[in-house]
Amino acid sequence: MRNTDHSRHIHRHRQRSGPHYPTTVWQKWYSIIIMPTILIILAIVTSSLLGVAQLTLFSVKFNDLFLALGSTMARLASAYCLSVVIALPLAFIIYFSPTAERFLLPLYDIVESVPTLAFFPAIVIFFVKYNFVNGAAIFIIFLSMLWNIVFTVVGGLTGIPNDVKAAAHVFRVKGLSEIRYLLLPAIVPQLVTGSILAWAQGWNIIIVAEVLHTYLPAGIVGGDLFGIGSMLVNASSSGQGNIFFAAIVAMIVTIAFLNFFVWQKLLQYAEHYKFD
Amino acid sequence: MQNITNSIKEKVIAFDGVWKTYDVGQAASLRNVSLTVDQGEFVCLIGPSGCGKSTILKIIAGLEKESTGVVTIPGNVSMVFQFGALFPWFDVLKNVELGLEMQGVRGERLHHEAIKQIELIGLAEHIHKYPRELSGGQRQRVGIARALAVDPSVLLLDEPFAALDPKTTFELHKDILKIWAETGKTIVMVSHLIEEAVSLAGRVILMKDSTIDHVFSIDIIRPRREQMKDYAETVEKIRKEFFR
Repeated sequence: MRNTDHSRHIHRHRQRSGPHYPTTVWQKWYSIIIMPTILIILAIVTSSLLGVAQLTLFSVKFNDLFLALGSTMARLASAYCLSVVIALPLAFIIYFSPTAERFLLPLYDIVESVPTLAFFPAIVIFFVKYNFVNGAAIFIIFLSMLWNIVFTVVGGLTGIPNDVKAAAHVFRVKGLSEIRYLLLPAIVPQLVTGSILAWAQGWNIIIVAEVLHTYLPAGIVGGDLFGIGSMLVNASSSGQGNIFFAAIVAMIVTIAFLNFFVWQKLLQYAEHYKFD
Repeated sequence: MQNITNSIKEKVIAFDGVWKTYDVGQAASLRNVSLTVDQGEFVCLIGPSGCGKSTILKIIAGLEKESTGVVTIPGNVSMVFQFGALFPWFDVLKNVELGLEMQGVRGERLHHEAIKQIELIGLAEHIHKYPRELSGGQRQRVGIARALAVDPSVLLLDEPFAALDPKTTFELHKDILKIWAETGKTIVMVSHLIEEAVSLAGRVILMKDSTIDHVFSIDIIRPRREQMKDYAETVEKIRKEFFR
């Protein structure tokens, strides 16, 4: 018997069961209207407390706002794709090799526990050297997303019922067929859950990842990456309350829409891939 | 039905002095097991939990390897699992097609063979349903159709009726006996119910303490009913040994 239960992450993700998407009208309204509204009110309060509450939204260049949001989304999407591409082989190695599992799972636990941002100054300097500053942001977001996906996918793989694995063996579902017909479908629910966690982590880290000037020797604000994160930080530090507020609202609305129109749909779809 | 077991005597499964241990220092899961199963025979393994009956089935299915001893098994073995073990993301048709596809069957033949088995097991109208949309009995029928689709020489049944209600179990008993009579497949079943074993099998192997304790030949005419004197006597005889 392969012992994988020592991983707190896998255990944590295994405990999730039942539908995790809104199933009632009230829950749907809550996730798309009520919750974002509460967050926007909180943003107004925060703006007031910071003394940047000149909420003259019409003075904000919405073109810039959408471009910034688009740039940020592109970075997050690139980092997410990279995370999935790297996470799946890392998880499959653990599934296929008990020896690798013994060595890699504790290693993953340690690496995951090291704060991602600790690496950021070195990452920035590395990418600046190659004149690819976007790479620094994407890479740090990738690092913060990766482990959420790895551990949830490993949880999904180890959660495949033994009799289903036995059936695959008896009916000679092996090699690439095993990956295609058994493993990839079996991890769909966990991949969706891991992706939601990964994107949440990505949104957290974007605030820092786009504000590169603090990590550059003699850095200036002009060295930052154009995006919603840097817009938010720089607007706050320069007292531009309207931009600060617009950026926060844009972020909340985007996250709420992503949640409602992408993740909740995917969670619903993933129900078809769950074992009884 | 009786003629099938009596007329064909070719051995398809043979265990000779088989031991199975998982870890050094732990008790053996199988101790010196020797048995043979003839072509077309219906054998049932019974015994208390942990007696090794499922281990025998796993070794025949190739899911486990014997530690010592000699095992002879045919290449084409198929299995029906306790809870169906269906792939939830595939509909009935695709679940049944899967084994065939892995054997290299493609196109129209793949479709035709799968549908034939689904019709045989009485699920033609549920062909595009997913396992979650089926009852426990229907899922087991899909499992049986999947197992038969690959035309196995040996069909293994791992407590396939344990999770079903009595009515569904009774219906599936009839289906299994019909399939056995029509196809002449060798069937090895694991059960924890003496009555079930006596109802279905031509030979009942009682296992205790990881080895074969008793072998009972059941020569009662099918279909067997609880009201039959021979049936009741045989059940009682096995029960005595079971609890001895």
